[in-house]
Amino acid sequence: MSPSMLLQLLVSGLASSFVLLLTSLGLVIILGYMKVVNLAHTEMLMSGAFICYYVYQAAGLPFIVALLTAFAVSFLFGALVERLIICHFYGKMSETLLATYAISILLKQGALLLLGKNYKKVDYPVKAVFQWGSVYLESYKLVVAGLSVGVLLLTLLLIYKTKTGRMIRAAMQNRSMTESLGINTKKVDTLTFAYGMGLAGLAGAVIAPLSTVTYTLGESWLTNTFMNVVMGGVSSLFGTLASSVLIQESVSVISGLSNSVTAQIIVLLVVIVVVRLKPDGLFTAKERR
Amino acid sequence: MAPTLNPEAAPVLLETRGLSVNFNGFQALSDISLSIRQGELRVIIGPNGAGKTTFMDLITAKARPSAGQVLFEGQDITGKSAAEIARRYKIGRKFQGPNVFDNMTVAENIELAIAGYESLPQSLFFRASAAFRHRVTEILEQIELADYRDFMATDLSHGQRQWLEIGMVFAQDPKLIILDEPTSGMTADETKKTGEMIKKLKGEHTILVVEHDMDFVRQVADYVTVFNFGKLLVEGTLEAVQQNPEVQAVYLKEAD
Amino acid sequence: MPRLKKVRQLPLNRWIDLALFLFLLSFPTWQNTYWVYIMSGIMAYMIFALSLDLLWGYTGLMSMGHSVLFGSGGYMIGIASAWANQADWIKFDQLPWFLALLSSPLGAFLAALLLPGLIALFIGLFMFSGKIRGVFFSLITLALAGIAELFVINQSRYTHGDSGITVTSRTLFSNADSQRLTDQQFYFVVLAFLLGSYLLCLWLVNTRTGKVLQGIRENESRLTYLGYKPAAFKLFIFVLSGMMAGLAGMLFVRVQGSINHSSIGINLATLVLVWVAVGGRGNLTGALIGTLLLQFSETKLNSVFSGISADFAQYWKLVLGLLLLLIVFVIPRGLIGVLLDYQQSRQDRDRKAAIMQKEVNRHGANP
Ligand SMILES: Nc1ncnc2c1ncn2[C@@H]1O[C@H](COP(=O)(O)OP(=O)(O)O)[C@@H](O)[C@H]1O
Ligand SMILES: [Mg+2]
Repeated sequence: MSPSMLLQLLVSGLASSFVLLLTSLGLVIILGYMKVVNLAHTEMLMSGAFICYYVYQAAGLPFIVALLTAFAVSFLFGALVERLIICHFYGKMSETLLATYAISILLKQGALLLLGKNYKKVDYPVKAVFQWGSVYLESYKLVVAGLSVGVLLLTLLLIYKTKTGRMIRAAMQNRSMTESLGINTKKVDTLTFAYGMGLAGLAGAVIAPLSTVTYTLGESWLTNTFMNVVMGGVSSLFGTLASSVLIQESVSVISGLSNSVTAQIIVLLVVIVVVRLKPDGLFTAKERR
Repeated sequence: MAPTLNPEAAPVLLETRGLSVNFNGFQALSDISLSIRQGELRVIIGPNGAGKTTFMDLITAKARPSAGQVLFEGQDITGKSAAEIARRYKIGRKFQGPNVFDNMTVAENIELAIAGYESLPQSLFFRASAAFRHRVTEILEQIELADYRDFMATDLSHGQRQWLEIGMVFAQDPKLIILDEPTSGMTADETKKTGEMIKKLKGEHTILVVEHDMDFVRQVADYVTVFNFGKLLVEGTLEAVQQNPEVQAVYLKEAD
Repeated sequence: MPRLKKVRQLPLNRWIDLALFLFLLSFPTWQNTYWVYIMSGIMAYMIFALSLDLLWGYTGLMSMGHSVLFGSGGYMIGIASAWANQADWIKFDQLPWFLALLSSPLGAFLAALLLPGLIALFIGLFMFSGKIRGVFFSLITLALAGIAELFVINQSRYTHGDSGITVTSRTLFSNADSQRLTDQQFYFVVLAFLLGSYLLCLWLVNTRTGKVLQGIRENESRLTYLGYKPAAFKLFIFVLSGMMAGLAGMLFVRVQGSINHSSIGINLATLVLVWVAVGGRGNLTGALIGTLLLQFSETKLNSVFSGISADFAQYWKLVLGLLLLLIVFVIPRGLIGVLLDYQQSRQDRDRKAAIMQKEVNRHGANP
């Protein structure tokens, strides 16, 4: 492999890392702060992508409006789902998995039966392509990277600097204590879940131009987002950032050498080994011994 | 209230040397050195958060000490795994608050705890002998649950669940029995029965109990160790300890 | 007399099992070949569901990629059969070393059990250390299923890619085209394996090992303070369950006459979870009944509705989603679980009454 080709692979790998980061954030937040594995996450991505298609591509509204709509709709849907369903199953792993899986079926089959099997294409909102020597990068991927980092920082800001964020962290540390302090943990739960789902919808809208929008879009993200969460751990969002980069760079380079399936298999093996060695994720917040 | 056996005569079973632990900068225990002799019934008392449970965590390898050693029958068992401490060194522990197998029957809980069949092949080809079944019944009678053997553990009352876990520790036939607040949440009547269960074992077994209930302590204890703020405050007979002004200041007054 | 009492105290679901097997035994005598063929496939799926129940229902390890073990067993037979009959897509003239076992019929049979066992062993060795959260096992197995599906599509040299493999032989061992049992005959082969698997499971869950597995499900850390090392037990049951899933896959392929990527992917992995969840986990009967009920209904409804809407399969999935939600909400222990809970509560009531009576008698004797 020539150096310039390797460079190209590394650059597109890095670009994809930010896409993966964005598509995983909502999942990590819900898992990390609520101990709920949200199997409906990737179907929320799919729904966000559809919202982007209808608002931006079909209705011709500005892209940013599509993003905000996707976030808002997913946020509300998340709040509803948490209040109606998830809140009954806290602490029960199998039940939450089954319930969120049921929701994911409803979303996916709903999309299929309502919107059909057709592929939909969403145009890039920015079309320029950058070129350095023989290395190419679509400008939209830069936008995605920016958005992705922005959302990460915003989330950290929300969690560490706002009152709600403090409540979320307190509730995560010690529920009964937090409750006895008069904090409404129910509200905190609903907000956290809704925010996680909202991010999933937003991420779906963001990746819409990068993918073909169809009802199977969620499925194609399932493996990567979940591996990412397992490897990055749930105690630190930087772990997610690191594992996103690790996964996508490996996938990109190994795909260049052989093919993308081999790359995924190798990455899965790496994830299994990493989890064995560092069960709390790549960056453990602090040793708790 | 003389001790039933001369503590100086029996060999030391458990000894801790300078045991300390630090949780993220919080010194939960500092420099605990104490020894328990074979056949002794030792009660540890102390206010909430004094580090009593943490002390037992260090003995049973639920937590690792940041300094110090645990010696059992003269052997250093610091850093051994929890399973090994239970199986090889025969230290049985009842946790604070009932910690049992909820959706299994009372008898199954006891059967699982009976020692000697912990490896996979042993358990796979295990067949309950008459002696084994007799032992299960015997323990169930000891903990007053003989009539409840087919109930799910989760359907028992809180006190009965405490007994069940005590029975599980008996079933392990341990050299050292550790009981963390065995009577918490029990009615006065249940507490008294528990005291009798434990007193029956006195002499034959070595027992380490953490307890809050002072009536219970009076009922069973000869020798008491007081913890406060992660430190060993004082040790002695119950009377001696009760006389100690420091102890009165930190603990006994509020408890009585 | 004590024996009779024992029979009467048998859990309700063992009678259901008995009735189920009698039903399955008589099924071919009053049903046509088509339904015998369908039921053979369902019985293979029942073995699959049993294997998941051991793992999830009894041990509390929720494998979300159990289809990988099912499918890898199935693919071994598929590839062996394609090789034995030199299917036209086969472009190699020697089996590679890692598939060498497939050249003999018995070897293929063993491979279909061993490969899933090895996959389970590998994953288990890494995942069952004490520190790894249970949910990570679910997520890793889920990812595995996703990747396995891509893998078999990608490895078209050996798997015929997207189109899958046609298997025309239908015997237990032979992979040659010429050997073929009738649907009726093969039905009883599958039934025998189902009965065998069921009896094995029944024996296992009643051994002390079975109780340890339930202990892992209920309170894994408590077990370690009783001197057990749960990792060894988890590894054992995962490998056993994997081999059983492989057996199911092997039988299914022979019934179905084909295998493709859908038998190894997320779709089937989650479908089997739904069967076991609906039937009720942790009692064996639920796995059997859930599979039978849902698969039978799907086939039946499909034949009714396929004339009306081409999208039947999609609507069916929607129904499954709703059903799953309903089950999780209303009867999280599943259909059979409800029945067992009912029996338990009645027995508890009788026992409580007996205990009360005893108290009264005692107080009456010495007031
Ligand atoms: N795993 C842990 N991490 C952090 N702090 C802990 C941990 N375990 C115990 N502590 C702290 O150590 C102190 C002693 O607790 P504990 O031993 O439970 O007290 P006691 O049993 O005497 O009531 C408490 O302040 C408790 O919060
Ligand atoms: Mg305590």
